[in-house]
Formats: sequence, C-alpha cells, structure tokens
Amino acid sequence: MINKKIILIGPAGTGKTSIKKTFFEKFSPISLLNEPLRPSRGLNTSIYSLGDSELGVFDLAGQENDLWFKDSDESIFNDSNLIICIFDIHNSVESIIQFLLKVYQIKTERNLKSCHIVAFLHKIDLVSHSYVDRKIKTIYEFMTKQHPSGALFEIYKTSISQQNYYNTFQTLSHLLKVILSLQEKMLQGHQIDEIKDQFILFLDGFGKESIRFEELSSKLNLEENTIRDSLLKLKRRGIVNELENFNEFSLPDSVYFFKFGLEQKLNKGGSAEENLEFETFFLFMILDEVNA
Amino acid sequence: MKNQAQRDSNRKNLSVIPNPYLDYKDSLDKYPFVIIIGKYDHILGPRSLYSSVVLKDMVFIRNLLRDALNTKNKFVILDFNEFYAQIYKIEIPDPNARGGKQLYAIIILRDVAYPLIPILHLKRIGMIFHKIDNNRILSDDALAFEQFFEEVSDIYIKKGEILPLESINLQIRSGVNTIQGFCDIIKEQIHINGCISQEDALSYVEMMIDSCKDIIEALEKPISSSIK
Repeated sequence: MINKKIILIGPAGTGKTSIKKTFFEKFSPISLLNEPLRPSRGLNTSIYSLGDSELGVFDLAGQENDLWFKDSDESIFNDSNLIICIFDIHNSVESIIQFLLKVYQIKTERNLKSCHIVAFLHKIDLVSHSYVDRKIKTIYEFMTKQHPSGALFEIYKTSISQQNYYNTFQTLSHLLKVILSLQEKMLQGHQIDEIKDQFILFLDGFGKESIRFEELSSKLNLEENTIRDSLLKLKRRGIVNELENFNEFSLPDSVYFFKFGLEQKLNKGGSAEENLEFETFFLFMILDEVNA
Repeated sequence: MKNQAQRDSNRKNLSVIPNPYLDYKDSLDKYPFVIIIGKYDHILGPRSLYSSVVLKDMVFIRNLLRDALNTKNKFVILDFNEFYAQIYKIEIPDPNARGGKQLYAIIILRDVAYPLIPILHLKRIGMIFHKIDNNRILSDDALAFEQFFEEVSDIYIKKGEILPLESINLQIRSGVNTIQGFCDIIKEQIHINGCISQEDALSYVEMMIDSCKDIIEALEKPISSSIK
C-alpha cells in the first residue's frame, strides 16, 4: 500500500477545510456556500483511500500559521508529498508571494526533495476571469524575477461553485496522480469495462431532479440487471442517493456539480472512454474517507 | 463507507459539537475500561489500529490521539467530563521511520465514576504490549493486537485482578498485583522460551522494586484520599 501525506495550508478563512470536505468527502458545496464552516483549530487530520493507496490529509488552521512555520525536528511538514497552499482570491499578491516563499524555505530547510508545492487561488467565482488571470500573471512575474530558474510553484484556479467544481476536482486528481506516480492512462481495459455501465448510467440517466427506477430503465439502453447492479455500486460510493426503497434516486449536490462540469467538458469533444474525463470520474468515484 | 445521506446528516451537525460520551456510554457501563491502540503515523497522521469496542466517532479518536501524542509526557490523562482517557505512549524502534522509531499509544477510556488506574498497571499493560514482536506491531498486525487485548482482558477484566480499584487498599493492592503480574510474565517467558533475557529480567525487577516502594509508602502514610 502506498501512503502519501498532503498538507493544506494557507491564511485564515481561505477555504482549506471546505476544499477538504467538498472534494475529498463529497459534502454538499451548496450547504458550505450557504453556511460557512467555523474556523478550524489546530491540526485536523483525515485519512482517505484512493484505490490501493491511502492519503493522510493534514488541514492546518490558518490562525496558527506561526506555529506551523516554526522550524523544529518535529515539523508538521516532515515526510509530506504535497503541500497545497490555499489563498482567497482577494488575498493581496504580496501576501501570497510572502507565504509561498515561506513554504518554499521550509521545503529547502527540511530537505523535502520529493515534495510538490502548489498554490490554489480559491473562490475564483467571486471575481472576473480577467482579474484572476492578471493576478496569477503578476505572481508568476514576481517569482520569475526573484528566482531566475523560473516560477517555483504551479498556481491553480479553484472554487467549490457549480461552474468550477469539476475543474477543481480535475486539478486535484491531477495532483494525486502526480504524487502517486499514476500514469495519465491509468485504467486498464477490464477496469474500463467494469466502470463503463456506471459511467453511462451516471451521465445519461441522472439530472438535477430525482429519477425513478422505471424511468431509468426506459431512458437507457441497458438491461435492468445492469442498471440495478450499477446503481448499487454508485450508491455504495456515495455517487447516488437512494430516496425510496430502490425506487427513486438522486444525485447529491457535489455529484451534480461534478456532472455539470463533466458534461461541459464532454460537449467540447472527445470520446469519454479515451479521454481524461473518464479517469477523473473514476477517481471521483473511488476517493473515500477511511473510517478506521 | 458513508453514503451521501449520512454525509449530509453529518454536515447538518457540523456546527454542533458532538458528545463522544454517548458513543461510549454503553461500553463504559459494561466494561471497567475500553482499550484503543493508536499510532502517530508519519504519513497519515494519528490513527487507531485497534479498539476493544466499535469506534463510532473517528474525529474524536483522532483528536484524542493527536492531543496525547503531541505532548512530551509518557503518561497523559485527558478529561472529557463524563469519562476520561489515560494514555501510555510507547516507542517502537523502526529503522525505516524518521528518527528511527514509531510512536504508539495505549489509550484506556474509563467512566468518571472509576478512579484513575495506577501508572504501574499501565506499565504492566505496556509490558504486555512489548511482548508482541516489533515487526508485528510495525506491520499493524490486527491479530497481534487482538491477542494483546485478550491477555489484558484475562488479567484485568475477566479475573478482575485490579478491581475494584475503589478499594481503600488500592495502592497496596495495586503494588501486590503488579508484582504478581510480573512474576507471571517471568514464569510465562521461561515456560515459552526456556529462559528470560537479562534486559527483560532487569526491567521487570525494576518495576517490581517500584511496586515495593509504593507499598511501603502506602503503609507508612495513611491514604488520605482516593486517587480519584
């Protein structure tokens, strides 16, 4: 079993815990947008499984950043494989750069050679695209000037809003693939066959509203047993909710957001079996919290 | 594996601090204590490896482990009002780990109605844990932990060796029980292996001397209050 350590760090109130809850645990983004979480305290760890691998996610409270940045032999950053620095899009360019440089310094001091550091500019739905792009450009320009070898960090645009949910998850799945050394075309033929029915059912069967089993049967070109089997698997993974004794089903908010973005991507072209979207769906489906 | 309905129900409760006592009350009523084995995994963070009862609230357990393992003390007591946790931290050598060791914790949850378990008993439980082969501990061998619990259970739950801890002669009883316990361990080791290592023998003798000191202290000074 391959285990990896991921650190979520950033100034207070930037959305670290929301990202963890929404993308790793499939909590409803609508609820999180309506009822923001209380500030985190201290260090919160969770363990998630992704196939044969386990991911330890360390969510560090923003109010205690001074503590995390203290250099010690027992630094929280030890053994980390991925440090995700999460910023609110409204954070100043200067504060973002200062923060990133501090993290980079820790990576150097702690000799974390194989650790990747990335930055998430979060809550991008609250501003215009041009503003986000301009901000990223400025950060890169500064970094390039400071470090002639080039920009030290990759910067990603993220949000838990419906428009951005899928892209953000795709960013996350890309990073997970990097730290787990998974190839881009990671699925084997038999695995594709196994998931194909679930993918078709998910994509063609469901919408925003709930749907009855018989409607699914008449809507899809799949055998009833196949639908039943696929529904069970999707339900077990938290991809569909069973509303009424296996008669009616719906998609949870997070899954509906995912599907919304997935459809947009697929409409732009490419067959689902061959492209990245199918793998992203697979990772979305198998990423789950470990309860023991 | 949680489904979305459970997740959403959890979400609704995000703003409410759950009371972990409700999850353990039945077990704490039924048994004198609940044992959990935890580990501070370098990669995955604090996690429980074994529990004598079904763990319902993993966040509570992880936070408990985090708080216990982040302190420098070997013995830690955490108070949760209706119950408390006594934690004994144990280091196991692991050449592959940063710092050459892995940190484990034996956590004992007890109802507040019961007094604290004397440290000597915790040490004895620790010795039973140390009897497990290090490689089995490091590989999170569930069967080894189950055997460990059975041994602890045989001594402390089935035989009721240390119970009732509320006894006025607690300190004396505890000391005598501990000496008896180490004698049993020595006998067992000789029975199984034909001999006992000098290191183990010295360590057991030292602990028995500690117990003797406790007994003498208890006889010399009247017990003014219970440990609780």
